[in-house]
Amino acid sequence: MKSFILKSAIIFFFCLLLFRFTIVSLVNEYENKINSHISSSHIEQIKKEFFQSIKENNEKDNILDPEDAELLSIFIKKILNELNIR
Amino acid sequence: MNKKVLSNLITTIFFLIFLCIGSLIFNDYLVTPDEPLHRINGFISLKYIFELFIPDSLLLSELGNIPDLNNDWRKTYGVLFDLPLSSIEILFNLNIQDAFLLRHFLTFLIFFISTIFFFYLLKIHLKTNNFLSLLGVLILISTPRIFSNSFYNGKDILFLSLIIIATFYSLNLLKNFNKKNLFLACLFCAFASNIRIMGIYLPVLTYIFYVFLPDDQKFKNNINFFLYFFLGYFLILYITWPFLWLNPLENFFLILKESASYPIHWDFEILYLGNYLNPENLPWHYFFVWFLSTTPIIFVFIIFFGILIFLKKYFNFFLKITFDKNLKLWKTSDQMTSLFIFLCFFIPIFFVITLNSTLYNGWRHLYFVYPFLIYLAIYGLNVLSDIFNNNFKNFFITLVVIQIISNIYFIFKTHPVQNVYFNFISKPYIENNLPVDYWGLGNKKTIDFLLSQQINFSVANSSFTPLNNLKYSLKPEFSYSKNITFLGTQEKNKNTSDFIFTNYYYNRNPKNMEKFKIPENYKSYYKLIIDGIIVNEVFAK
Repeated sequence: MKSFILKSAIIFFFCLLLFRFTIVSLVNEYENKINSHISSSHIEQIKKEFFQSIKENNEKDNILDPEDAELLSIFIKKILNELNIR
Repeated sequence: MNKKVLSNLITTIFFLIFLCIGSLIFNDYLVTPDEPLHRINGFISLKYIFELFIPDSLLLSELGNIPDLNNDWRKTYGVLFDLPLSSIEILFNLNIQDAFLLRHFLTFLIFFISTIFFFYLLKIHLKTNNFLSLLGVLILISTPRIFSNSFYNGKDILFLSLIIIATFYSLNLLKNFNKKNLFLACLFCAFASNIRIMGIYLPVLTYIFYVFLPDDQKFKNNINFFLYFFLGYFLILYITWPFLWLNPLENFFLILKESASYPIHWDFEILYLGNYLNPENLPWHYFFVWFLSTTPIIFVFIIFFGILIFLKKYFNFFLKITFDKNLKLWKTSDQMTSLFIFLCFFIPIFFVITLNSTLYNGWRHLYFVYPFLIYLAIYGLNVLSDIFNNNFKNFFITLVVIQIISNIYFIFKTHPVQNVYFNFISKPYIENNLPVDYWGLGNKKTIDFLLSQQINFSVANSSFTPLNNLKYSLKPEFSYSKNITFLGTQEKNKNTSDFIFTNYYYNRNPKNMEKFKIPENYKSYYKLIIDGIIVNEVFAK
């Protein structure tokens, strides 16, 4: 009985260590990466960059390239036509 | 006067001085963010008890605003300390300031009692003289963070205190099985588990040691011991924890489950080595970095020395163990004690690391392993003269005494903000790597300074610290709302406030958070610098 408890404890000890320093470490690393991307602080940063970009574009005479403008114009007109919205 | 009487007299005087100092300074500490939550926790259980037993009591209408136990996020919190305190508050009709003062005094008083037990743990179980036992107690109480927490941390310090007492009686039980030791071991193990369910490891460890005791030292067989010990333990735990009363098994497992994880609604990140991390995904070295940064360096040194000496001695024995019917895990009773103490600190740290348990705000959740580490440090000092000579031992003791004196000076100089202690090796690297004043103890000092400059003012907050807790600690001549208006962290209030306060403790990376920004038209007005570390800062227009 005593021998069984001790041997089990030693095996359990090493299994847990192995699990911690392989699987758990890897999961932690990826969870932290995901968390840092979806954190409110990161979203705040994206929001800030987005509005900064709008501000900069508003100051320009032309926002789009003539080719892109034409492409978007045709696309929006077609969509509006299909939706039958004036 | 013979030597023994003198030694006992010095010990008594030492403890009396410690009690006097604690009684004189306990009201200097600010109400920390956790304390109002624990006060409500007591009321929640009180309301639950009244609803169960006296549903038509008038008191229930007074507790109308208190949440119901089963619907509250604190339902799995222990109430051993909170429930009696809330009952006293109601019974004696204490005002809220006095209720918090009482909480501070009782937290210190229980810690003080546990230091006496720690003294006897060293004296009786380690068989040291009064001097080395007192040295152990001094190491414990002169560690600045432990000293400071012993006045307001009604969870971690209380758990540390009860674990010391429970360990003392568990060892007594293993060495001398009688009804008194059985009852006291069950009682204090249950009390410790009520504060933090993690305390359950102590009765389990005690039982495993009992199984490994030589047969001639056992008074009961393993099964009988198991029944007596765990029946007593669970019965006391059940009686002292109202949450278990109606649904003991299911709620006990819920407590176990919630204790290892992190309440989902808290949703905050912690600063660790320059990055903001989720407390659920901490690297394995979190405890070690915090412990090595905030423990006086000589103490760290003797603790490692003690552990090394113990491991060397024990492994010499362990490697010769034969795995047969007569397997012995220890040679002598003293070796059993040292192994028990070693496992008392090793097991929690091992499981916290391997099971990826949630930790935050330093290593406070593991403060309870500190007395065991000190025990092993004293064990190392005690056997030094066997390995080397007495001069070597005296040299080490002198170093420890110098460190204790230096700590006492730090405690005196920085009172009541000792919780910002970092040792001299870690101090240069703290800024932007580890949080400093997460309890916000320095807030009071700074607001007091502002009150000395101006009678009426408004102050906005640019950090994650509840400034309005100061209302419980303001001097009688000043009043919250009349003299000071706390405007919180809302951005719209920033430009209208007289001052903006920050203690640089954040629950998110402050880089992109507008609420943590200081407007450019505000300039630094006052900095609270303790031991070379900026604890908090006030900005004014």
